Amino acid sequence: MSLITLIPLFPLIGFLINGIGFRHVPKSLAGIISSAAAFASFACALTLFLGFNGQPQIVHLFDWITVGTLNISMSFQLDQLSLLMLLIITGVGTLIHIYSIGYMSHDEGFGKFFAFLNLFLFFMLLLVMGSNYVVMFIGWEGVGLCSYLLIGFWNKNSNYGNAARKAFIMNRIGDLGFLLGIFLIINHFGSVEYSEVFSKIAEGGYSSGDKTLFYITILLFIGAMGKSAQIPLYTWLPDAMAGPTPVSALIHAATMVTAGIYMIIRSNIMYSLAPETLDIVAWVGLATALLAASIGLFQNDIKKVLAYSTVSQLGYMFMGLGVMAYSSSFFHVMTHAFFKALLFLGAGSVIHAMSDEQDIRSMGGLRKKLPITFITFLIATIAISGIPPFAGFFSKDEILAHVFEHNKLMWAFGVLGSIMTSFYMFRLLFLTFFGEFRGTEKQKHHLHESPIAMTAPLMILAVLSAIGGFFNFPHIFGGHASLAAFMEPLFEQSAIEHVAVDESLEITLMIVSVVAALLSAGVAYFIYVVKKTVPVAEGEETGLQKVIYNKYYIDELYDTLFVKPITALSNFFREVIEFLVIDLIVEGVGKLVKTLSSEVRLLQNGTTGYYIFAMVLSIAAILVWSLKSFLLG
Amino acid sequence: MIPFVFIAFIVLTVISACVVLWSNNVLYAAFSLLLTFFGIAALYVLVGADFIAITQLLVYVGGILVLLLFGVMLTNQNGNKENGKNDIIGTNTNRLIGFAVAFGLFALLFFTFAKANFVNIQSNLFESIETFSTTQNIGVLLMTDFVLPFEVSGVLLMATLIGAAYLSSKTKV
Amino acid sequence: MNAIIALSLFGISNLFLGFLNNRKILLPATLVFILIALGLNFADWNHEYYWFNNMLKTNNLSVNFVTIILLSTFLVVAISRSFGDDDEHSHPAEYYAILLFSAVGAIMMVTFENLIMLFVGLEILSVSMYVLTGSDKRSLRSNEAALKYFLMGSFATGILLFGVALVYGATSSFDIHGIAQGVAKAKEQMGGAYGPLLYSGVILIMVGLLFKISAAPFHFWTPDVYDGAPSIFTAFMSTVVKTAGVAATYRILSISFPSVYGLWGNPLVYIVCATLIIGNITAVYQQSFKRMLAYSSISHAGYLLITVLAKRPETNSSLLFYSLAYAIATITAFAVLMVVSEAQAKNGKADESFEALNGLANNNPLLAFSLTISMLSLAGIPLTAGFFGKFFVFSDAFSNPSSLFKWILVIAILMSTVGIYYYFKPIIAAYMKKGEVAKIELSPLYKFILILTTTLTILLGLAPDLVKNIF
Repeated sequence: MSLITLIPLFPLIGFLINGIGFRHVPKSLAGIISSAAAFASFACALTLFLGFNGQPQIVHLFDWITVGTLNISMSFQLDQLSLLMLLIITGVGTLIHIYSIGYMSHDEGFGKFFAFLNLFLFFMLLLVMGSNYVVMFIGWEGVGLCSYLLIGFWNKNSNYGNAARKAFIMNRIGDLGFLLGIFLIINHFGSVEYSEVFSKIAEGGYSSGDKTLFYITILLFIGAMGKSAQIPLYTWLPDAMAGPTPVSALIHAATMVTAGIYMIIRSNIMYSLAPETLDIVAWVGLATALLAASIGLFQNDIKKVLAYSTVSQLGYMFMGLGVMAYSSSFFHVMTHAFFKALLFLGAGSVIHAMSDEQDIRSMGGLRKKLPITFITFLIATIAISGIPPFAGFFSKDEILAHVFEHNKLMWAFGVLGSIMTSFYMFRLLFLTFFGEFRGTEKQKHHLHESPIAMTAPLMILAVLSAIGGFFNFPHIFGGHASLAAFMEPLFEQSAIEHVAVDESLEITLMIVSVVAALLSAGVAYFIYVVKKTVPVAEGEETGLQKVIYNKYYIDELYDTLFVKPITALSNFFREVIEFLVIDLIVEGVGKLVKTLSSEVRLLQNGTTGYYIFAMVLSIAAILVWSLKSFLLG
Repeated sequence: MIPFVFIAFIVLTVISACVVLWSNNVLYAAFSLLLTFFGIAALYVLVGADFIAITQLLVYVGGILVLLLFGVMLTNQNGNKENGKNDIIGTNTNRLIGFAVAFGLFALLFFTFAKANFVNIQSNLFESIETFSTTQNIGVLLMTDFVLPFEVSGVLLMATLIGAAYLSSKTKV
Repeated sequence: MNAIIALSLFGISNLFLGFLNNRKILLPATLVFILIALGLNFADWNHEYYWFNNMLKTNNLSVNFVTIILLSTFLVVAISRSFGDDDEHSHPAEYYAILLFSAVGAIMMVTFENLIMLFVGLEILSVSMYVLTGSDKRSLRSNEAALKYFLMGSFATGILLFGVALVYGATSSFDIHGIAQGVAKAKEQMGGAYGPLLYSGVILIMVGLLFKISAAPFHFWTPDVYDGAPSIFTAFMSTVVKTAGVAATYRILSISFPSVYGLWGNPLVYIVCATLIIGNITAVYQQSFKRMLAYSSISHAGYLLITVLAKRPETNSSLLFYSLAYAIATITAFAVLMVVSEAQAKNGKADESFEALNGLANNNPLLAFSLTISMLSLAGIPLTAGFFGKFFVFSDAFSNPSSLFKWILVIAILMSTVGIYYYFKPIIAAYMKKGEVAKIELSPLYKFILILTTTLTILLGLAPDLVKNIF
């Protein structure tokens, strides 16, 4: 059996052991089995990566379904893209597994949790390893299911169950698009294998803007919107924070949500021939990036801030895809996986220390009590804000440079987004770790640094967040852009026009965005550390308590200049856009179904006479309709 | 002559069927049903289906209707409290809509028949046809070509019998 | 064909077995009977044969359908637990006999070559179901359901018969292949058009059959009857009766009337959409698990009918696969529902609502797991049989060039999304809601059946080609 098949097999075995033996496998063993399974997969992936010769490999397991001439096989494809995804998934996955051993140690469903984590890993690996769209779809649905199970893991609270269901249903709406896209591919190309479909496109002489490709790509993109939380299907992601924090780190930050990006990069040849779709992708990405970042500005729940930040970063990645900067987007996927996982795990460490308190208004001054968490969190914050030389800087600036080539306005918005990113991340950092402790005495007494099982992954991820950027060190700094070079064969067949970015221009762009990020970090420092501002309690921003609120920013010039308009904007987006537009359209459909259901139910009134009457009426209607040609003439 | 007899029986059938529909007294309805079945049996005779006609009389008039009357009598042992008579008064609801829909459906089907082109149409409906008994033919066919449906009807009857016996058996409640 | 004879005889033997004072023997005996019938059924494999003057025809397609029917019957009988060994009110011998007889009817409905056989088969099945629906004589709901079913069922039978008569008038044949020729001949005589007689006949036959598979707007009886009938017979109705009904509809429409596709296809499109929408939307609001399953069976009738509409060479196998996946999952769901509601009844909480399942997973992992898998399969989540059922059905619809099918497909997929909502309710109840269901002792056979159906569901979801190649 080749190493390739072993990769998904390990987590599956882990799942089976923990799942079937739930309550029988001792707690100490369950975590180790799962982590070992994840690590074994990582080791396999690493071995394959080191021995990779640049030639895509397809491992055919068995023929799966044969429908007429269409043959769908269960087979794995190993190429640059899947290798990199494998490394990220198994690598970050292993760290999060180890972390969870510490984090979940007090939980009753310890074994169940690890079983689910392993199952998730299995499906995620299927998703990225499959050599055709159907296997990808299986993984796609599977991770959705696991995500559902894990969001609702703490099911004592019925809200959590609802959040889980919301996530699942929103994803299904996206899946509808994906499934239709697959059908269209089957219909049009008669195959779902990547290699066949892509070579058919390459040889088929499709011109740019081909109608079929447009429909296929737009349908696939709808699928990506659901899974990767883009407007209008993003609202499930913040709600998904109901799950345990390692879950948020693994699924809702590092791996699953990037599935949409993976899919588009995988299908890059189709997207490159569909410029309309690319435009849509880019603008949806930009809108999501801005909307989510602005909402993130004044959230007070530590995980909510990170959730909106994730949505916003995903928006950046889509923006990059939209301008055909595939490898840059992937670079951002990678660095984002490092620093966002780190942020979530750090947040988890804080929550753990704070006895499950998630409100940053009750935190503060934690840097002395949680030194390791603080330092790693700081590194991640710098990384995500795009300040050199940490990982986020390189990847984000690569995307922005490409965006600049494509559309200057889009670039300006992108920089605006990164200013907001820097602001809310530093705000989070300052409110959490600086100043005085604002929680209860009991919490203060309880504060402690997390166990080594939790801090070790933090440190490893911190190192990766710090140096991750050097994997694709750009030419202008004398690097080799090795990641881009490695991924080059993936884009051979697509028609990407390579625009060489002017070096001096690129450096200027970098300086602009770095200065902007630093400035906004400085503003955050001024507001939250120097002035020691603490966000007011919820619901008091408006209405009767406005007086208090106004006092809060008449005094401060900066506040009036920045906070008020942005708060207003943020509130506007959160309350008007999110509630009216998103809730009305997306959730409104759900409510409509429910209302409709309660109405339709009344048709079933239990009277036989009425039933027969309805039947006769229908028969008469059908007969009239069928005989209409005779009746009319 | 035949057309008049034919029309007379049709009138009988239709009128008694209307009484079944419109009568509130279930007993009257049951007796009108007898006339309806009888009229239909006569119509069968007129189209030369003597076996069916006899079966109709035997099964419906002789069996089912008697059963129906027994049912009426047994369900209403206490009699009608209002007038002291032993009858059941049914209630009709939705007369108008029901009538409209039924009539519409009837009109449709009537139209269907009026416009129909029967493959083996007998053009001379009212001319005397060669009279012969169909009973023998039916008997032979049932034991040759249609032996399987004939036999399998046994399964149907068996299932019905078991069901009837089971449902009517006494249960301790 | 041999299976029909064998099952009829076995049904009667069952009645005689009932005279023995040993009820324990009935269940294994019946299971053996069904297995023998299944074996006899396979004797017809790869033999295309007309029986008794073209009354029945067996070929591989019919063998496959009969296999699904007998398998479903087997599973239902296996989970019947002798209808309560100690319950003096139950009459297991009669129940088993009637179940076997109705299997005969169902087999006739999938092998018929002559409309008379269709009618007799349908009647056997229906009459048996009327009786079984009312078999819980002490329950008012059961009695009411039986009466309702009987009234409406006989009405539908009348419609079907009327349609048969009209078609006979138009084509002068009862033979389904003869009818196809008659249709062609009628067209010739009419100069390229069809008379209203044929039109009405086809529509009425279709309506009569659609009633049996509870397609909207002829579905009204379904929730009341499924809800009122004892669960075990509801399981039988929603699997065997539905499979037989769909197979019969498919058989007659595809063999006798392919040349008048537009005539029955157009109304059927709307019927399919209405069925999908009504079935799924109404299911959302239900509080009772059993009633939800009733609506779910309506919605699945819609999916099954898509294949009938799609009219492709692959339709046979899609229809078979979907029926199989659906039957297995439904029986599993009912198996769980039955034991749980019975256990709850002992605690004085006799209900079949979702609440009865609360906290099921804590003490009964097998039940909860089987339930989950069956719900996932019904919802069409990948790696379960139901997903591939839907996948095949949808790809059938998608390959059809008519643009109408794209709309059906969109509705079908949207509605399967709605389906997720209510199929997850029992899972949530079992795993996430607080509640206590005491450990339920299951007989080895019951456990075996649960494991078997669950494994089958997963296996077919992993490797659908296993059976898809046979179909």
